[in-house]
Amino acid sequence: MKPVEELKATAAQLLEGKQVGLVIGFGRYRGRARPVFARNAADVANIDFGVDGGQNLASYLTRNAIRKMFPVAVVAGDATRRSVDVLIREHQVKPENVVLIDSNAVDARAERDARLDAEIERLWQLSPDERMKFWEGHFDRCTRCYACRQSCPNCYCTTCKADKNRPAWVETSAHGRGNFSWHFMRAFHQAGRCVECGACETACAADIPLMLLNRMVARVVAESFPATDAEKSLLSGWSKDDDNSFFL
Amino acid sequence: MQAEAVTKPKIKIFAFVCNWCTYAGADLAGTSRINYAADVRIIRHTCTGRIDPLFLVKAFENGADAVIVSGCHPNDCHYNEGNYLARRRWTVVRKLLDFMGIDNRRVYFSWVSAAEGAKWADLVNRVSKSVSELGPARHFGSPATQAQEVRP
Repeated sequence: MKPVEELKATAAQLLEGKQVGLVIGFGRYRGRARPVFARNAADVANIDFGVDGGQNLASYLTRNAIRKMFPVAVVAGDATRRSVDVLIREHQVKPENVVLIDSNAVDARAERDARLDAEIERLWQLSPDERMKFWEGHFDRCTRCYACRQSCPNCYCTTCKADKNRPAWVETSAHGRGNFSWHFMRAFHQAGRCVECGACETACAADIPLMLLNRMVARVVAESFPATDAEKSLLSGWSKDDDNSFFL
Repeated sequence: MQAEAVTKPKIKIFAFVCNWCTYAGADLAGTSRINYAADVRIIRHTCTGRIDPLFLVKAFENGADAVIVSGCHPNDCHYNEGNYLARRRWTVVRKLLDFMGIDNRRVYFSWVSAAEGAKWADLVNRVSKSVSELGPARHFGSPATQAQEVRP
């Protein structure tokens, strides 16, 4: 962990030297964490390097307004760093356009993951019907605001499949069927890509345990594909040695 | 006769098959006049790699009791790697469907080549038998699964 003064000096230097057009970090405002966009060295004072707002700041890197200011610096914790790696791997961001500055925020992932794993184990003990009831109970509250999508750095498609209406892959009304399709599709599209930052769950206004789905998919991926090419996206690659046991 | 009117519940199986192998295999089963369960509705695609996981979800939305996904054996794909890409996808999809409440005993994957008409007939018969035993599927958000809505 670097001292805050050093981090602030780094950010200020980058801005003063015009090496970056913007520094994105978290700041505190009336006791709440919120993103801060520093355009000049004086604004750096507003950045708090020890706070994590629950949002993934890498999601800004795919926004057009931010892209105009490239290169930009991001105050990045562990998850944000991995998100930037994903965006670079998927050719959404060029490496020279992002500068990463350390964050001193405390990482509470280990506890959260243990809690999620316990819940996933519990759900696997249930019958499929009971699991369906569990998810129905949660998806019932979903209003399809797509905050989960907007908060996710991985969801950068300009036209989401959920917004297509000819044919309508995902029913647009907040009904159980459409909600199932949406959450299934969202979780599936995260396979091998999700960095488990938890931004979707934080953003969810209906408190749907989205991280359960993400974590479950991540675990399946880790178990089924232990040795995959880090340079390639999981589902755009293949191997002759992939699991063939479930094919009749 | 009254007794005959009460038959086993009709089940619906949707089969997503590839044009080059399984569709031809199913065709062979037909031209060979092999009798097999009539519960299956075959939907032809260019390749198993073309079959989006949402197709399966759509099938269940539209009242499927089971789905079959079938295509060329590994190494036999008309497009060289379509079925390999699909295989990796399904590994994740079947677990995710199971986790979200769609029983894995209702989702079948298979490789059936153009020469395996008998294998196709056998596969459909087996799926039809085991799904009949399971009964009709419970559908997500369908009125039957949710508490009856009370209207004033």
